[in-house]
Amino acid sequence: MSHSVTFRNLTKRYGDNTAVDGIDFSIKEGEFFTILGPSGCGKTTLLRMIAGFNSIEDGQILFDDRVMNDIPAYQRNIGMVFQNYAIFPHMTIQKNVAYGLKARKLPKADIAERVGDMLKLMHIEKYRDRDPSQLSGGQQQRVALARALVIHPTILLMDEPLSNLDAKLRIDMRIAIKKIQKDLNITTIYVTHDQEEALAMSDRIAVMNAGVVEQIGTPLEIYSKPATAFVAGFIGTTNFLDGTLSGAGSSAVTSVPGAGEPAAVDIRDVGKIPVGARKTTSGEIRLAIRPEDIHLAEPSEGEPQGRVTLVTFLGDYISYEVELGGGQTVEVNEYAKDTEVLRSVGDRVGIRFNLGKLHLYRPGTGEAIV
Amino acid sequence: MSSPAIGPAIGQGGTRRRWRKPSFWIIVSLTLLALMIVFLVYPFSSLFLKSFYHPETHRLSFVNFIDFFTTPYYFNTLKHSLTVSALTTVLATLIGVPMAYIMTRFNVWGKSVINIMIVLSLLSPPFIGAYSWILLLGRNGFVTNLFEQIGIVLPTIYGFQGMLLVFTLKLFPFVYMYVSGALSNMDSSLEEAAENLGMSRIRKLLTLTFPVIVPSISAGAIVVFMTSLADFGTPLLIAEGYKVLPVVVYEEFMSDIGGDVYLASTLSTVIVLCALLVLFVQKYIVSRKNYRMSALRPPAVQKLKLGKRSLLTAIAFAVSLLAVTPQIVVFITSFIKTRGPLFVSGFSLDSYRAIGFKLSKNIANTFYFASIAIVIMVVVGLLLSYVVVRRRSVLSSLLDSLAMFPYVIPGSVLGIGLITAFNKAPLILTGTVTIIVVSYVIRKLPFILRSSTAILYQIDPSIEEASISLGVPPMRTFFKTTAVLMLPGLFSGAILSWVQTINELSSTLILFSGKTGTISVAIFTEIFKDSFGTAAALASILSVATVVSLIIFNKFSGGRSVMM
Repeated sequence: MSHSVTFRNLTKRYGDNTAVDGIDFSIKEGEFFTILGPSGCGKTTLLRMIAGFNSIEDGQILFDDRVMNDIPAYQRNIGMVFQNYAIFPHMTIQKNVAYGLKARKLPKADIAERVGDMLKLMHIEKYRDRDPSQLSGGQQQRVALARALVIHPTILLMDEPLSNLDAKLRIDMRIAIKKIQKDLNITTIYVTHDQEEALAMSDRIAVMNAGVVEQIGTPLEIYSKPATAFVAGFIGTTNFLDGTLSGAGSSAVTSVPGAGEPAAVDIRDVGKIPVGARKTTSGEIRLAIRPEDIHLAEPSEGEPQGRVTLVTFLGDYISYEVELGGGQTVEVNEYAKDTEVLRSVGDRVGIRFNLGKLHLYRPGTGEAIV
Repeated sequence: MSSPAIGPAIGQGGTRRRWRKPSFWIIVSLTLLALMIVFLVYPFSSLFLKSFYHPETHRLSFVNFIDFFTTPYYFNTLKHSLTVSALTTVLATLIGVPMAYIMTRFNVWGKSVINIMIVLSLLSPPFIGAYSWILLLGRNGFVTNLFEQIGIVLPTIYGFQGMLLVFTLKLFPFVYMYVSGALSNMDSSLEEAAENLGMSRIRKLLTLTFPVIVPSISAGAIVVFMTSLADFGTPLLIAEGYKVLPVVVYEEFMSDIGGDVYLASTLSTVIVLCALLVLFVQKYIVSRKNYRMSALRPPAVQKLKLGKRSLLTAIAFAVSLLAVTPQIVVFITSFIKTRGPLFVSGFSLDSYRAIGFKLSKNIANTFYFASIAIVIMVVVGLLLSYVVVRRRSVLSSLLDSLAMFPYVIPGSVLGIGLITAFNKAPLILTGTVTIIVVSYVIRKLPFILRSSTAILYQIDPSIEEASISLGVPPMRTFFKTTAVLMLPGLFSGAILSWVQTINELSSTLILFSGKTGTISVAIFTEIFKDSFGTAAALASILSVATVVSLIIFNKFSGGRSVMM
């Protein structure tokens, strides 16, 4: 009995500040959907609008095809897990979990059964009579999840639920949450600023920035085809280089199928890099490429070159900082298993871009070109 | 998983506008506002406005203020009040701060005994101090007579010096409490850093330790100043010809027909303005020098050698003994045989028997009034703090400022304001229990609000959202979660208010009638009837009640804490 969730031109203003600006998309029934973005991007505001804690200034929220704008929070039948868990400190674990069922005036026996089942599912049945203060962060997290799920909500909302846990536990809980979500097949909207968490857990991700959605897609799409410069910079590590888009000229290497002049980017004092596209526009651009998509080679004529300025050995890979001509630097990752050479600071190296993984954006707006 | 929809009956969806009934909190805010307008704004604005009207022509005029500032008798009372309060504040600080330093930083003997003595000294109203010191050092005082026998005539205790003595000994514990709290909350690494940077001990004190605790010193000092400025039991007993503002207000107001209500209003306005001014200065100091500190490692207690240790112990004992002297005197004299106003040798329970005959009503009244007041305080504290903290709006900040206003109103002015407002239709309350309870609640409102907002700030707002999202409507959510979490803290705060309420004199003395006298009123009138024995017995009962209340308070605050 899960619902789909649809936003229609949803807007939230705080005075002059627009926290959520015309959001317009749908979340499918049973989907694990993550809203990802830096703090202050409006993601928590959006979540609280779904929960009914924030008023809606403009637009609509629909569960399936029912408009929810005027339904008070306590009638939405939503399960919510809070960042700090919000466990009732004056109730035992069992009472915490039973709270929502009591509100629904279920028979005592039913409540006891469902609470028992849920505590078992969450592996916290042995703490049932403890006070919340006696539980660790991870256990409290499980209580919060049990309390939200036991009411059989039609939608589960989670607001940065793992941010207070230590690194190891966070990864365990990621898996636990994901499994339970799939078992129950419940539409889940998950808010986080942690891109790794988002990539690991989600069916789809919406990347938000300054109140607007920059991109919606599967983790793979978001990572490999960032729609905007912001997404490219926010997800993973990305090198940005300033340059000018122009015709490839005589040194063009790539042949592009189809008509039109092959395009190339002229990076200041570095040289021209052919890009795998036709030239459809020209002018200043930003070129984005991830550290693992650049390779170091012996310097050779007619190829971009640079000088190693920092070497960081990280076990399975080596991270280099390379200074190109004109003062721009790039980060390059080389996997230890792929290379025999460990370069030193000061070495001159040739730079090879994995041309298929280059992305071009307009400098001002950050929107993708081509 | 498929599951039956068990959500509560879900209201009609859609975007059509519905008439919404006003939310619970709007009703609460408006009710509180209405009560504050009736019992706070109306009485005091009419009292203060009166001072701007000509007594005969009833036109707007400054004639009352001109009278006040040009008539030496009245103007001198202002000078007297400010002189006594300012000097008391200085002396109390000069005693309180070193005492706090000695007690927190050195290994003096008998710390717990000293602390108990200081807490005990705080418990009784100031006028009991005045009365005890008169018993010792007054015209027919025990010590006075002792010295007379060996031919030494002690300087008189009546007038300026007496007030200063009583106020200082009574009020320095406030400074002591605030400052010792701050000193033991100071991380030891701060002082270690200063030493490490080459500061000598004295210079470290002057450049680091004291500047850092300035906010706490000023917080204690402002309590001392306000209390000494507002108190009128003490000057009434001991000041005699040295008139201070609250006494003149009381006299002008109480001398039924001959009194001048306009002048009393003017004097009240002047006191409140003085209090406001001092409060703003203190707030300004604190706002500029407020440091947040929490002791990761509390400061070390220095181990002293025998000589210095004995010296500091002796000083600390002497000071706290002086502070608690009134309590001891009262307690002993309550068991001394009396013949009329005179104490005779031998002990008896006569004084207590006398109370049983005449004054048991006052004892019952005291606890009855304070109990009603405490219940109202808890409810108001719960609702008002919630509105102020969680439902921020123009209305809630108005409620906040209104509730804080009584902080600068002395008890006697409060009493006068209420009595002039409610001795006529439409609302006649004079002589009733209601008016006394109202005065207690108003008087404590700033403290209730401050302590309950502090409690509320420690409760996570998402607790309520969790409850709401689980299907419990907002109002029921409040009573099932936040209210339950606030109660223990609120209650322990309210017991402190209860202690002050059972000891209240200034406003009760103006508001009481034959049937609504309290213990403190009875003590006061007994003293004026020269029945020192019964006065002492009543004061002892009051002290015992206070101590019992504080023990309950410790049980509540030391016990289970549900705050996360």
